[in-house]
Amino acid sequence: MSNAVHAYISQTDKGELIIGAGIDTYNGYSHKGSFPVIEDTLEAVVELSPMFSRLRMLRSWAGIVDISPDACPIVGKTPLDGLYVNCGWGTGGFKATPGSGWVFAHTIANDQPHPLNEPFSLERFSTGHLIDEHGAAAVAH
Amino acid sequence: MLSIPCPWCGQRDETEFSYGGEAHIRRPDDPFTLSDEQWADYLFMRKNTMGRHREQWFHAAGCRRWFNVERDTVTQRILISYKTGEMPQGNGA
Repeated sequence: MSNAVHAYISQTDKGELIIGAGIDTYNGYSHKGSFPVIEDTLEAVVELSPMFSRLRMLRSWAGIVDISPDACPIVGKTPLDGLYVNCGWGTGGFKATPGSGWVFAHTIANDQPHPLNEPFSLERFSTGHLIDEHGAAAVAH
Repeated sequence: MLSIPCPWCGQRDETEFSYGGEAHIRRPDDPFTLSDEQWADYLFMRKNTMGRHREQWFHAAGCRRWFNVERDTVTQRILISYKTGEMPQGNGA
């Protein structure tokens, strides 16, 4: 992974390289990913490792990411009794899964958030307490 | 690659444009009369349509004007484009 050119590369056991990725600027459910984003990603990879320009591209795919208005997750209660949300992780979330699971379990068991996830409430969009962590990962998200 | 029909410049590649999100969200006439929830609804809450979606685009590398597009968010097919202030009939949300 490179923060300067924003590309991720990892090699599978078979030897193929898995390369990623960016997000489309517009919302969609096509599971395709736009060509300009694919091009940007490949440009970044080739800038980082010029020898990869000789590889053949086998396939590409895209998933759907749920991005909240402040690009931070929503973990907590909802206006409905017994309904809790743990969502809005966007392109992040994998590394935070154990921690978010832990505070989410605490939230459900006690019907109130753990101090760690209290700021990540659904209400923050109406109270104005948005979370300013968009740049925390140091890569463009 | 989306091919977006700008109402002024015609069909161009999506790389000339920037995206402005859901269209036809009217700024409240008197924000001071709104509750915090109503204001948050105006600022943040969007339909997130799966299907025909009316949205704003900006022709950043062209005429530099905003306009609206109806795009199917599943097929990525662009159905119509029209100038800001117009409201064509149709199924778009």
